Amino acid sequence: MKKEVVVGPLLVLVLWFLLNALHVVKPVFLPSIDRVFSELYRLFATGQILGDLGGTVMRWIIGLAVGVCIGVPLGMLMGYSDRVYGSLEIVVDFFRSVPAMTLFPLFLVFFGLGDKAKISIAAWGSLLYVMVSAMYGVKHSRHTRLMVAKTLRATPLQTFTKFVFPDALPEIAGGMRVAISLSLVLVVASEMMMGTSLGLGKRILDASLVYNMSQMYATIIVAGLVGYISNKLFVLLESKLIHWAGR
Amino acid sequence: MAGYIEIAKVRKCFRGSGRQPQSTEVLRDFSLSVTKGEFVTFFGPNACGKSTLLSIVAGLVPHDSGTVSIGGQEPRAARIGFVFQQNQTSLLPWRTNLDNVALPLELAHVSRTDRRKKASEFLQQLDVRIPSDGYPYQLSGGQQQLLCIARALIADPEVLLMDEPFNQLDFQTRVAMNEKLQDIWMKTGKTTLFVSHDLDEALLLADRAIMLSKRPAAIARTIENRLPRPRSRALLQDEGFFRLKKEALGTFEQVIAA
Repeated sequence: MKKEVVVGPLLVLVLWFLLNALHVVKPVFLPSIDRVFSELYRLFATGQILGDLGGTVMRWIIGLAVGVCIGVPLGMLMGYSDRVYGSLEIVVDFFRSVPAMTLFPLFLVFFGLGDKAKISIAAWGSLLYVMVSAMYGVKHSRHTRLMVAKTLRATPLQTFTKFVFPDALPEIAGGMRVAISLSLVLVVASEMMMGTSLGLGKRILDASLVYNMSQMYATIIVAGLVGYISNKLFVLLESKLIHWAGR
Repeated sequence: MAGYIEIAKVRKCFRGSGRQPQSTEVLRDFSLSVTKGEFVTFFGPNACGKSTLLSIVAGLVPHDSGTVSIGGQEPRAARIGFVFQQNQTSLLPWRTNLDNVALPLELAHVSRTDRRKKASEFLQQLDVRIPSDGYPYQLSGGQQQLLCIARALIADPEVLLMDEPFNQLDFQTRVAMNEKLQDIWMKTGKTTLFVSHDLDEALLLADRAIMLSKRPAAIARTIENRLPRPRSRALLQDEGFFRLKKEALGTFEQVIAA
């Protein structure tokens, strides 16, 4: 890794320090760095935040998995068949344009106050993204490769498993990368808006309501780290497994 | 004597659509007989229908009337090896080089160890030296095309079809590939149909070079090349080759003028 990567984080910390030390922002709204980080340490040391972290990650991963498991096959079907694509095009484009958060009340009505609604909303958001990328992945499979499959007399199943599916993987992975971030956002937001007993979103909201700003910032940092680390891990995995992408 | 590949009175018309409403006839009563083990090249004006002809023989594109048979069978029933112009996109970059060559065997359900063994022996036999465990995107264009040729030949096809395979290569590589292909062809003895838009290449490789007319493609002239093999690029300076080329150029000019 290059040395200059530390510059950005350092700038943020320096800015934070100055804003706090010079009282540009009231300490009530922006506590000092050490207070936030000692709160962060306390949250983990006492194990208080682990339940919230676990709750959020569980909803997020299940939602994402459900979305991918439904979205990828559906998208590939749309990519394969112009008929299916033609029939669903408007519906898919419409729902993609509807901000997922506007559907919170609807999911609440359908799935109740529990985890089901939050998981479903994460699944919904990731499904749309992954579906569209899977569709384009199939549509963009290289014509020449399909001709190769034909000249080698590959069966339709072989054409799918050995040609079309691997050819679509880079694009599916691209959709998944977006879906990972988006579904995390949706889960945390749903925890704030729908309420729950355990969840990072819930803790952030509760802390802010009682002006426990150190805890609020500490939890935001945790949520940010979850998103950041998962993204980095996925990109790493992607470059290992889909080594041919872009070449 | 009936040929190994028999093309009789084949007609192919592409129906027009959208921006090009009129339909185009690319082949009209096209007939050709190719004997087993023969190397036949096709040379003609742009868009004359030579690639379509190859696709029909491969069974990729249906023709409107007439008959095509390979060793007495329908094209779709015949085993064919096809090498496309696009070396990069006709390989599967998620597979190693060896697994790309072994692909036809895999589609025929040969076990993994057997097909990998056979593929690596085959590459050795053809004297194609390419790192087995590397990936196609790490190779040069020429090496990629060699991989495609090996893949096309490994399942022992009845015919090898090549559609301007060396177009995307630089001159130096192309020269090397022409020699390498002859070498492979002499080892395997495959009946080969080769479309080229490079006249030297078409004449150098051929037992029989077919000069095609403008669309709809008809045989304007057949030039037999009986010069001894292997033929290197040096042959281009040869008196005998020069005579063939002069004949071919004369025909080509008539074709263009027509």
